[in-house]
Amino acid sequence: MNHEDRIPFPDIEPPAGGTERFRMQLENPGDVPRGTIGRWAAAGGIVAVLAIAVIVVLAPRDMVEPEVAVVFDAPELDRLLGRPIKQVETTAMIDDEPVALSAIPVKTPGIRIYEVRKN
Amino acid sequence: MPGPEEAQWIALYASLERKLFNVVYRILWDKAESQDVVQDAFLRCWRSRSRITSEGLEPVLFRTALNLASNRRRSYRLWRFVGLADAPEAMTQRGACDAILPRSVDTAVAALPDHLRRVLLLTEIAGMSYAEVATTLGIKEGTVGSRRTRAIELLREALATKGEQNS
Repeated sequence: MNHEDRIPFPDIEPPAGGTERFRMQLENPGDVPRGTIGRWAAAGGIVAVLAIAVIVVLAPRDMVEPEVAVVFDAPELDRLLGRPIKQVETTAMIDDEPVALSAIPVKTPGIRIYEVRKN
Repeated sequence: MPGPEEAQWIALYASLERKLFNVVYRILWDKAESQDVVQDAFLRCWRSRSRITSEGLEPVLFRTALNLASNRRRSYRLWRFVGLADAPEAMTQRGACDAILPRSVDTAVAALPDHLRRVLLLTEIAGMSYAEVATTLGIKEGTVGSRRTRAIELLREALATKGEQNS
């Protein structure tokens, strides 16, 4: 690093009592202040996830709207809902034409790479 | 009375607070906000301590603090834009309260793109080597060097322009 072009930023004193405040927060984790926005966002997120989970799990299948049933049965949700993962055929389109795909072997589990060949 | 692990972390806080605070301050430009972010970064790392090695702790602390500061800066901009919250004045009117550097340098630093500012702050204020900055930000050492050079070029250009306007 070239030290000749260093910028002499002055050192600024942090507000007093930071260490003591950190010590109190470690000792009383329940009192840890969190941002209002983050707290509401987290609460809203949890409620939304719970509501969706309850609807998906408890709703009788015949009461589910056809569109919802299609989404519910989508293989993409297998992992999320803890269902056995089914093999699906992977397809791709280029310029509205189907193209041939061939899987390239990879060692990393959970990752699939395909080669696309356009005829 | 804190246990030995807590005491270790409190000592770590005491030793790193100033460096972290000075870096975060150049993103948020507000002392109270900057200290909040430093505290939050430490608490998050404390909660995740079982997953962090002692050698990896300092980079993780800096990375967490930088991300928290950037997020906070973005959210305050957004909330101010929609008029639902008051951001600290210093974030939008740099120099209004805690001005230390000449105003023009502050303005130039604040105007840097985030990825350049991060590198500049970590090398100049935290005193990190290129290797340490690379580890902290998850980029290559060569990238650290080029970003730092670019940041300094932009600062020089901004200050030269300011000087011409003033003369």
